[in-house]
Amino acid sequence: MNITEEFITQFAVNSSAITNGKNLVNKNNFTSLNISEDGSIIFGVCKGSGKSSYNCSLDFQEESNPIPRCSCPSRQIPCKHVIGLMFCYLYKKEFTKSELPEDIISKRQKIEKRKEKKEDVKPKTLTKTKANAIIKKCKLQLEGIIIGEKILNNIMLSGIHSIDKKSEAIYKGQINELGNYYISGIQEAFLELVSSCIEAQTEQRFSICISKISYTSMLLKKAKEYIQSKISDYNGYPNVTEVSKELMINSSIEEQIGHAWKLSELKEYGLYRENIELIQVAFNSYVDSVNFRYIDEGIWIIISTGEIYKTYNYRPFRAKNHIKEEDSFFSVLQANEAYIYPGEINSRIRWESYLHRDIDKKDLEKIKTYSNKDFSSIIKKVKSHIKSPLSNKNPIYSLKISDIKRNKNKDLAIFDEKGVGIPLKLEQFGFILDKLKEDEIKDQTLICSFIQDIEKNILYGVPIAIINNDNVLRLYY
Amino acid sequence: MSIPILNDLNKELTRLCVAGSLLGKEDPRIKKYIPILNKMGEKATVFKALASKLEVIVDGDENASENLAEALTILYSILYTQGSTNTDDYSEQINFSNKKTKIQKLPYSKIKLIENLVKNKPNGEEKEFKEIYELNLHDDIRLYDLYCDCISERHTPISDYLEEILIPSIGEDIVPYIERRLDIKGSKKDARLFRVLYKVKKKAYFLYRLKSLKRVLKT
Repeated sequence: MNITEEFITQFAVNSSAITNGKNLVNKNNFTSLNISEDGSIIFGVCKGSGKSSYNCSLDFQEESNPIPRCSCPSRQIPCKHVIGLMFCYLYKKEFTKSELPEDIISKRQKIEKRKEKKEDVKPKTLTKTKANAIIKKCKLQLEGIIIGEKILNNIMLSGIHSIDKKSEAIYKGQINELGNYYISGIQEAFLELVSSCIEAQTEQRFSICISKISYTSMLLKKAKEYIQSKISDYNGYPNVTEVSKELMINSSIEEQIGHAWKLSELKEYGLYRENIELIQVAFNSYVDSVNFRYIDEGIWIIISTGEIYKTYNYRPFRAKNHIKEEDSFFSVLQANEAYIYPGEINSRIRWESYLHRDIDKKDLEKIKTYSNKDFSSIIKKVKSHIKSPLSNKNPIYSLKISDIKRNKNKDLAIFDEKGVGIPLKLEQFGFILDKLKEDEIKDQTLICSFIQDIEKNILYGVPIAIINNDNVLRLYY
Repeated sequence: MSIPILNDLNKELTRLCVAGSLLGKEDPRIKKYIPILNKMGEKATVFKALASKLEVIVDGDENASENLAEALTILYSILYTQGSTNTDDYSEQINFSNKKTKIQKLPYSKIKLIENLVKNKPNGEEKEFKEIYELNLHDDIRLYDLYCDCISERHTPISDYLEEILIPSIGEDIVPYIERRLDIKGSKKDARLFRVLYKVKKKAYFLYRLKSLKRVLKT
């Protein structure tokens, strides 16, 4: 059982749950604290606000997937009582060794049974009915895309300036219609397009808005081609061809149309890795006001390969108290199984359970060996990637910095061994870059995303983190 | 290179996109690019494709709006390959620090908490802040600006705490951040910054600044 302060922060739903949990410990509300003989579970009794007390426990039977349980009525999992229990353990309060309560034994048995059932599941076979259902869904999506094309045409015909508060409601009404056609991704693209049109008019800067137009127009085109090829694939049942599958696995098209990948599907297509260790180099959380949700975004590097992936945790406003908030992660994360979403670069990665250990200098050394020493080849790669209208416009690479200099305006640029430079755009805590010690930055690795300023026509690097010999200097959270 | 033409075309197409594709019919400002792009198309076919989209727009065809979106897509694809990374005027060396940078393992939630506390009127979460100080996580170069803003712009229990305990405990490293804000002829808030400087740098520095203050007052 490896309970650390960082583990509790990660495990809790939000910071107020942590504060509330701590308060229970400070008020001495725990009347009994127990640990099982084998040390696989801690459990206790905590006083509630009313007459009754709550039985809470944290079960480490499966080390990488601890299960919190509590008899309180809270919908928050883990509730403050379980968090309090963890703090008791962290603060080394006395836990008495005792036998497992009856209810926990029966709950553990239930989990075992469920696992057995899961393993028994036979691989899905494609039947005529299923193939027909897929075709039916695709046809419906095509109908939705045709409506989408009409909306875009209307916007182009009457111009961005025609989108004001009044017409926004009309457009949004039409966009809501798209919700009936299994194309939620396209619907989101339209919502973002309309809101960027309004923003562009107030600021009189149109490049973002035009990017959205070009994205949406290309998405409609590519989605149409993809869905048509999918229909022709399944039309050949029982001899189903795999033309669309190739695109589905190697690009984000399904997700961009609106498919929410299930982990089991990703596994079925071989999009997963076993036994990998990752280090987080950046974390940020922001509001997606168009889709009424918070997005927690993490940037991770696989130690053994140097590949960079992203994690996304979506928290709709209406469910913000029940969905776990992610936070910065400072240890090495060990995942038995990690699922990788289809995409070209810095794809999304997810895991269901994990273990953690402290970062060792060797881990950092290993990651540093994968940094790119040739900036001109990276610039070429970035350009060829971002030119595709559907691509992510901010690809992330790890670069080896040979030198860092500034111009008269105090802007910074990094250089490789051959003297090829990349101008930098400093965001968030990037300002510390010229306040570092020489050996903390020279010959070290910079994790850097790219951004092109279309109006100025400059391709900038945006520093995210520096990996040096001792630690990771985070320029985001 | 073709860049100035593409930038100009971008402005024209953006204008059309704002006003609506209907106005593109027989538009001479769009028309003039067609022969130029066709010529460029002899070397790279993408320009030819762009020219053909522009032709449909100026024809005022019923597909004009569709072609305007496609023309913009092609144009942006080209512009995305043209971003400059020129660093010729970056020749000045940086004054590196001679001390190891202080960055703590402060998670997002804690940094946000500190930001909220120093930027807004705190609502009973000072305890958390003090805990960060007690765990020695407060001494982080990323937060110095926040601390200084707080003592120079606000007067809250938190800013008192920063002035009395937290900033003096950081020491010399925070001095440049305070000095950057300090206006020796300034107002009440500068008196506070000055007081903090005294607490950090003690008497010798205070006398030195006092001399400079007298000098300023004489002039």
